[in-house]
Amino acid sequence: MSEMIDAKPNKIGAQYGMVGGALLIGGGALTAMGLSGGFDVNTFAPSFMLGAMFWIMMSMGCMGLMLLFHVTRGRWGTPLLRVFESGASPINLTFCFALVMVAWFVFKIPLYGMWINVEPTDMIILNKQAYLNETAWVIRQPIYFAILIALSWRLMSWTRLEEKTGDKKYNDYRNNLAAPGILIFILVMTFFITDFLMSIDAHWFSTVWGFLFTVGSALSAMSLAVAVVVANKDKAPFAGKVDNLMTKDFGNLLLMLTMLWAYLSFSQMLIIWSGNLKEFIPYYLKRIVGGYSTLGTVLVIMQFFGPFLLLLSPKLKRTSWLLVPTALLIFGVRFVEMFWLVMPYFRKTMTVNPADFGMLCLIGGIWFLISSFGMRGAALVVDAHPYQHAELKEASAHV
Amino acid sequence: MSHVRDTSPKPYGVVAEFDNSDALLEAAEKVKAAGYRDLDAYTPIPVHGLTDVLEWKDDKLGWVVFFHGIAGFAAGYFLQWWTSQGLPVSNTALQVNGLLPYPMNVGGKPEFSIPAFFPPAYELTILLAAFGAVFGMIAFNGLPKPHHPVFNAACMNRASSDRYVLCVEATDPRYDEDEIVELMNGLGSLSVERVKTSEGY
Repeated sequence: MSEMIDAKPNKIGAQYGMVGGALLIGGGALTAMGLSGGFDVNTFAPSFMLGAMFWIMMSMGCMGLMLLFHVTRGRWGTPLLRVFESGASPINLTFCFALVMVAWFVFKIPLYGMWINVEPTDMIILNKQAYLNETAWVIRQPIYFAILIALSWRLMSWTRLEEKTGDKKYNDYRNNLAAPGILIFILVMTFFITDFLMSIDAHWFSTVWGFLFTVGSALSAMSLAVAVVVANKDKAPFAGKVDNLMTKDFGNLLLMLTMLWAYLSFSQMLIIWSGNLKEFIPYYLKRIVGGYSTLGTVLVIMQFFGPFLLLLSPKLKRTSWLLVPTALLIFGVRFVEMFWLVMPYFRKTMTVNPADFGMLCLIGGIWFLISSFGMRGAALVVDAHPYQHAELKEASAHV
Repeated sequence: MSHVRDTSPKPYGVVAEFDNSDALLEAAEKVKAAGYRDLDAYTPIPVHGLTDVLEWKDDKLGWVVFFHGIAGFAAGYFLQWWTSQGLPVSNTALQVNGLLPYPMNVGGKPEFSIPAFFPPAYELTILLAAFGAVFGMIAFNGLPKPHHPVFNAACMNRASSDRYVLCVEATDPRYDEDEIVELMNGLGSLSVERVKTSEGY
């Protein structure tokens, strides 16, 4: 099948490189603007957290979808897998780990001061200290990322081995590892998001956050991958391989993730709203005052109703110039959600600092550059898949 | 005697029988290429790509389901709003038969509480959309239909077990029975039949 492997296509690698470079320059300028008053950890911590969260979630989403593809082995994944692999490559996950470490060593007090310098009368946090203490937090982070990096490295190396040797046993290896892998991944996500974001306000908790961020991050990664691949679908090596049936699958996957995101977000809100307990409602109270309710409305309309109604249309899912903007809309609104999740922890009213966008672009620039290297030297359409082998084509067409 | 209904059999179409799906697909493509449009196919299993060849682009049902869903959603919220809050009591002109809402105070929340009322509205959306799908499908298919003229063809007996049947219907503007029989015979079919009907088709 070697003629199917286009070893030096890398249109997407080059596009990633350009986007990454532009984001780095723009992000640098915006960050410099935001820092014109001097660097202060307290004012800069929210901006950093916003950018770090957005791009760590991108990598996590790529990881989740890579696992999902290896479990289901659907035809839809063959052109998308490379985007997921480059986003969740060991080197990109290492970069995410570095971001977590920066958050800890530079912005520890503004981010996690609430439970690090705990008030002696704060019984809620004192009772959580067996889990929520500095030593345990620092020990846990490398464990999470070591698990993810090991999973990602193993799966990716098996894909490459299969493409090199043509041995189909690697396909089964990936399938067998990805099934428990997806369970491990969701557990790691739950612990990670609890430590990294939820512990900023250590009084409040939600047990659905692991799933909520798994789905949200998958939505980010899927929208980016769909936008990138569908925009290039008439060029080599996608031409003839990404057909209307496949873009329909892409659209349906986006629709599914959109609905799942709305379902989980709404369930959490409905339960807290019905319970009306003072331990739980502050989370939403903070997010409906000081201008944040506008963002909440934007989320309901643009992250759910808009994409939901658009993606119901079979015509849209078959038409590149309609599907790409829809995917980009979802991708853009992911940033609004991240802002709405992260900022109310730090700012009582909704204000925007140029450094918020600066950090988003700067970290995003590095993320794209790392991913662009991941794209190079790899065929954009994965050959190591049963679908690419004619005898199994029909069998896997609707998986 | 012009008031007596003409019950003499009329042509319904020409059917050809094949023993595999590839032969059916190939035949359908050739018949299509010969300029015939009113085609139908009867197969024991779903045949991949057949609807593309037959050029069926019927999306009426999707819209029926969609608008049933919208109606369910609106009806769900309307019912809950009307019973819980409704119109102000002073506005008697708009009260239907003097019916008044029955507001309930649940934990001090608003009488018309949008989040809590969402699940029933959602369920009604699904219920009506499902009704739309099932009954719409039945209506568009013209069901129930105890008998169909194509059953007059002998080969149809095996169309639900191991035979693939292609039919050119008499409604086709280019319909010419002899020409079609000749065309079908040249397509590797097992048999070709002229189907008659007296059911007014």
